[in-house]
Amino acid sequence: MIEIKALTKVYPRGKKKALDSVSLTIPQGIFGLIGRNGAGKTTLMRIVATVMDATGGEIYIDGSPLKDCKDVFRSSLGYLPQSTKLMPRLNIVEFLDYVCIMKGMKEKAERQEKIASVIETVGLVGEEKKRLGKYSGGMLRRAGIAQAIIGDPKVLIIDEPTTGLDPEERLYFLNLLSRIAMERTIIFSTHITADIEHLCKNICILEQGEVKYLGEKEAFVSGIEGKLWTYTGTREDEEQLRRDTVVTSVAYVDGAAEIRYVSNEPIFDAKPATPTLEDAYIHALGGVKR
Amino acid sequence: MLKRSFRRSGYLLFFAVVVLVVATYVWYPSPLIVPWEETGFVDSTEDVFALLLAVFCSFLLPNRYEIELSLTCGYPTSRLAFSRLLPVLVDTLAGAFLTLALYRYTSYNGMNKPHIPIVIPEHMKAYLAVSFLVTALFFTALFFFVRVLVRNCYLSVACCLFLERLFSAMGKSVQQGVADITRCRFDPFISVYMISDKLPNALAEQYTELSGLAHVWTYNRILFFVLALLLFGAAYLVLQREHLHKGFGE
Repeated sequence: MIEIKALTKVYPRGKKKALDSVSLTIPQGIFGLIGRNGAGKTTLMRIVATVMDATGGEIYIDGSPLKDCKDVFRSSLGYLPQSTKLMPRLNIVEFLDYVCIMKGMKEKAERQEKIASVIETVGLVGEEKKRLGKYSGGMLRRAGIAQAIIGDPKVLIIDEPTTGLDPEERLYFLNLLSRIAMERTIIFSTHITADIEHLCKNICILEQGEVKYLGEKEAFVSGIEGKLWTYTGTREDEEQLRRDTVVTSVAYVDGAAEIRYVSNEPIFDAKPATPTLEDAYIHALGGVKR
Repeated sequence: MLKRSFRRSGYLLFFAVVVLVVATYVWYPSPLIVPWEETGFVDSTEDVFALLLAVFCSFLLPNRYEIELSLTCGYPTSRLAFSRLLPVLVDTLAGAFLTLALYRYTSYNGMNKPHIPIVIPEHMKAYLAVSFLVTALFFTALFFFVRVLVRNCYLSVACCLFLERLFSAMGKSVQQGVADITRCRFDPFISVYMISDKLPNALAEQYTELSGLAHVWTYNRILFFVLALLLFGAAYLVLQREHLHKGFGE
């Protein structure tokens, strides 16, 4: 279990806090970290991944302060950063061999066995000879996850892995994550709520460096149950609803606005709607602004 | 990791040899088969050598992703940097010494272009080798430091080029008698002064023998050796601090 207590990060010359006294507990399983761009997700993940120091606060790994067990923690850590440039001149086998050496695997036979197994897990069989520079975005993410899971780490930190992927690759990646989640703690950050809709039980919403919500996803979504309405109306109706309620989505179909909004009582002739994680998330952020 | 780094950067040796030979051949038009002493190996090679180190240091040092990867794999950053730097230094040095073998340290007379015949006495060669090694170490450290400070590899090459030209110009001004002779104490390319024929007249009169130049040379080499160590240390500290407290590119 990972416990984060009052974590604060201020970048040098930074005008505001990137993280402001963030406290949360991350249990086993896939933990979703959601937030807008610039909310502090990457900063938090980089600090937990021990590639950046915090300005204040403490992280505990199974009760021990991270600063006292950094090396032990790193030996059980897999990290996939947001931008995975990897090493374009190497092929996947050479790259994973390099990672294995850095992870302290000295036996060549052991490395070869692990590499073959991981390549199969991430579905890159048949692509071994191709250079990483020739890989598509989705394949690169899979190569990235391969380097993260090689050596069987107990904690995986994955930073916005689905950004820029096509729907098929995205689904493949999410399925892959759910397959490798067994007996692992996975911290998974994204700004796409659909990514964690079916993956995570526990979530944390970060907004401007602060925790906006922490807890079970179902509880978060049920918070707006019975308060979410859908209404098809005009642009003027939309303007009024924006003023009086929290609008979670607006879609124009054939000139009419299909509006979903949160309100204790329905306004106009609205019908009740089933809330999604996205509705609850947008509601938590104060509604659609534009 | 070190073995792997050497294996993967083996092409540096080839590249270094080609550049050193071509540079000497182009800048000092002399046939390679009958090399002339006025190709000025020590002078020109130290210059080219410094530039090679600059380019290699700028392009081959671990990038942010590799540093992060090594950190999260529990592999020390210092070992990663060392495993990258050592092949740069060794391969370039080996390249320089391989090209050194192409030249005979004998003067060649009867040329129809202006030249200064150079004779390097046998007993000076060991000093020259040490001198050359210190120069290499200093420039590796300097360019490593610049590379860590300036995060863009092209910009760092430009910075290194500027520094190399600056030092070179300083050395030339002393050799030509424009600047004060005592300034050669602070010239990283001091090896060239060891070849007495290249010394400015005043200096040549003062230090006709190596023994006369010895104290200047010793002072200079110790200074640059210590500076090299300090620069390596500073670069490593900057690397750690930048990375852990600020984060590259944040």
